[in-house]
Amino acid sequence: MTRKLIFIIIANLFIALVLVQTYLRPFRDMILSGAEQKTRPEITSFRDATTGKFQGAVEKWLKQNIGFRGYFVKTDNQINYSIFNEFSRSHPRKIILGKQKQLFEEAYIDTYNRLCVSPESALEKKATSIKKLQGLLGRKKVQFLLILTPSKASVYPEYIPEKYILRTNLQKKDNYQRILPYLEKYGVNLLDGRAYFLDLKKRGVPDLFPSSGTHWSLYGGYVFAGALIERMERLLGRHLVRIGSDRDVISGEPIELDKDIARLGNILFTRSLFTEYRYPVTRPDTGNNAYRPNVLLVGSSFCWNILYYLDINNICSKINFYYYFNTDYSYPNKKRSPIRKEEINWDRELLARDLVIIEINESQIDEAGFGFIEKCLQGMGY
Amino acid sequence: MGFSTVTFLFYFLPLALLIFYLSPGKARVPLLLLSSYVFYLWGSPTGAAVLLLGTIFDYLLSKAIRGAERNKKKALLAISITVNIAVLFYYKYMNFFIGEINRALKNFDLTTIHWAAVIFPVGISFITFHKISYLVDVYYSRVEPAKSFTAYALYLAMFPKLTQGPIVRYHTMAEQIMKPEITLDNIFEGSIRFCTGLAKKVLIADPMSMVANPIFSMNISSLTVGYAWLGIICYTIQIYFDFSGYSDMAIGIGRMLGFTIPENFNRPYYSQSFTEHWRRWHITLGAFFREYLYIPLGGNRTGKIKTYRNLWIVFIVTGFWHGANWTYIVWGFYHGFFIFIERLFLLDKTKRWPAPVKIMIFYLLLCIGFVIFRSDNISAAFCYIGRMFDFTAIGAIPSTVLWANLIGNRELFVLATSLVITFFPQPIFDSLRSVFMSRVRPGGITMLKIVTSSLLFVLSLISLINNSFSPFIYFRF
Repeated sequence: MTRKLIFIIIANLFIALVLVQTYLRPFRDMILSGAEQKTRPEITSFRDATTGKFQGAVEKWLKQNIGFRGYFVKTDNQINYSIFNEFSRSHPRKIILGKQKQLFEEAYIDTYNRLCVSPESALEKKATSIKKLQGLLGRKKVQFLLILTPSKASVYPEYIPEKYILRTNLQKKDNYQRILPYLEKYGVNLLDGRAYFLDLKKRGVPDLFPSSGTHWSLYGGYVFAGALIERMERLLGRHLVRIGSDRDVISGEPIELDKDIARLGNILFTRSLFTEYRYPVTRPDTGNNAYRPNVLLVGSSFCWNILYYLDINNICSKINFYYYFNTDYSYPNKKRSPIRKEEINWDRELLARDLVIIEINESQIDEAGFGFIEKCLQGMGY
Repeated sequence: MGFSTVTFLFYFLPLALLIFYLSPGKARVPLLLLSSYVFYLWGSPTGAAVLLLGTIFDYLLSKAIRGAERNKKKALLAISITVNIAVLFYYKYMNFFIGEINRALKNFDLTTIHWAAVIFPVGISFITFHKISYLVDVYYSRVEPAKSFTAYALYLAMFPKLTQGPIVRYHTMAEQIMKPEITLDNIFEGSIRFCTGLAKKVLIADPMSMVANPIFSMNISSLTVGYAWLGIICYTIQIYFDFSGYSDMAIGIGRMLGFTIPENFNRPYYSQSFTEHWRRWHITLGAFFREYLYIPLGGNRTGKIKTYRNLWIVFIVTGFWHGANWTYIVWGFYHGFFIFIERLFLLDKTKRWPAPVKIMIFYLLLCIGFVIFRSDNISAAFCYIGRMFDFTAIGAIPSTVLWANLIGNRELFVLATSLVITFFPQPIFDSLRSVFMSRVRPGGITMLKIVTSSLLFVLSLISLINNSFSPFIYFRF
């Protein structure tokens, strides 16, 4: 009898404790990583209640705000990881645990498996638009460069678990392979990150992608930044500041983007996912009359690791990074402001630049420029 | 509101139980009625309004039936049943029928009927059956009309069984409603049963739905033989553990409140025939149809032909009761067909077959039936069944979907475990159980129940919360 009573009391205390934590937060909860759309239950009409829309929103809100949520989520994920050797399947971008603790986002593996292939006509149209933009900028004495950044899945496919590879599809060409001939045909200035990284890998350059990150590593960003500067020099016909490095630091603790996907896994012991990371100690290598260009960069999260080295080594006099063509990060100082696409004065925005760079990851080729190309052409009277 | 929601687990249930336990004896029934209406209002405001009006109507009519003369009595019963069926028909089937009529009109290029879709009040099918059973029992003087309006209203609205059953007949509840048996033992055993049901729903049924749903919505050209079988096996596990889990939670909450709610499932897939299956699956629904449809139609006392006719009617109505779609009717027809041939000769012919073989064949046939039940329409169901048996196309169908994308290690583990639970041989289970009961002291059994239930509750809770967390690495700020 006593055991039964104790069980009932403990069960009730547990529920009470969760409720107390929900509203008063007397204990520190575990912080969850990742961006989440927060729900706010609002009732706008009686129909919201009769259709269950309001009740659904309340339930979602309660789940998002329940006490000890961090512990609950992380414990469940830890069980999945430790017992079932996988990550939660409810993530919108599923995380796949590859060989030797290499983590992948499912979307990149889908691209590798050629599951999202655009029609040939759409790719040619994209290449034509890029060429038009390049021509337009050229007439205004502004150089243009397209960067194709690689995905971890295409550089290191050997780490993808066999059960996630669709072998029958691999003979097909992916978007990257299909757009390249068009870019060549139209003479687009291109820095092909995938070809460059595959060459580096062949030459034995390690750690281009971190095991616990989805983007290229900070080290990979450094190597690529070097190639980018060389290419910028050729395009601008001037000597630029180079990035020099005398040594690499090997660390067991990843920095920033190098652990983004591991953090998104939200397990209790994230460190168990970390391996070894290479970080170059860099310095600006200023030659005689080194020029610091004014650059507009449009791209995705892959740009952060290049920007890091361009910024700390003071390579450019000014960089505006149009992140997904939604937010403007202005360097130096990384000042953030939203982009009001309809209010952009394109002449003023572009004429002061030395160079406009568009970065596209090979898994997002159909989204190239995130609307920038079209808006710019439209704004410049095309 | 579902039982496996935070709203229910952390707010409604603790509060409803607390109010119930702390209130004085006489106030318990009205307060439980109030909380049941709050429960229903939250889940379906329209349903709550319909329920209240229907309760008043039935209550007055049942009093009138009791006091009326024979002919008038019959007329009153006919009115009450007609009205209840009409309400059910309107809310559950009107959208379907108007849709079908409009489809036919469109085929003949005629003007379609303008119709604003009716919102289906959750649980109305169960409520209607409770009402019919009460009115018929009053008519046949099997029960006295409810002593008070509150008692009858609570019988209908009692929140544990309101939306998904089990279907409880009034005479089994009449006494209990007035005198719920609140004991520490009942609260404890009820909690244990509730945790078990919650785990069945959250830890087994939900992961299985994550496998079955994408397969059933897959383009037919991508559906291979293997995927088709994986989908339907996961679906059979999902529907059983979901529904029986819900029944367990209902029985558990009922017990915590001091009421005994009848069992609804008894290892239904461990059956050797459809006849046996219907004695194990949704037991209270089967009992309802036997008592209030099959027997009034004449049952098996009116000759072979009429018995078979009655069986067909019962199963077609059973199918239609499950939902307003041709798939449910065909599913009912499918079950009726097997019940019919089993009665005709199959049970005799297969008498000497080994039990495991009969169980396997039955499960295979049940799977085919569930494809019809789960599919969006009949043609989709037949395409799916076609894929299940298209062995010539193994490897020939180009599939762009990977096994690993459909089923993860956790789901694989859940599937294997649930199949073992479902098909574990009954004799071995019984002997293991008796050995266990004889060797372990009652205190040990209680402790085992406590540890297991606590673990299941926590695992269910963390899984429930984690399913609501779908983060992106970054928003495209």
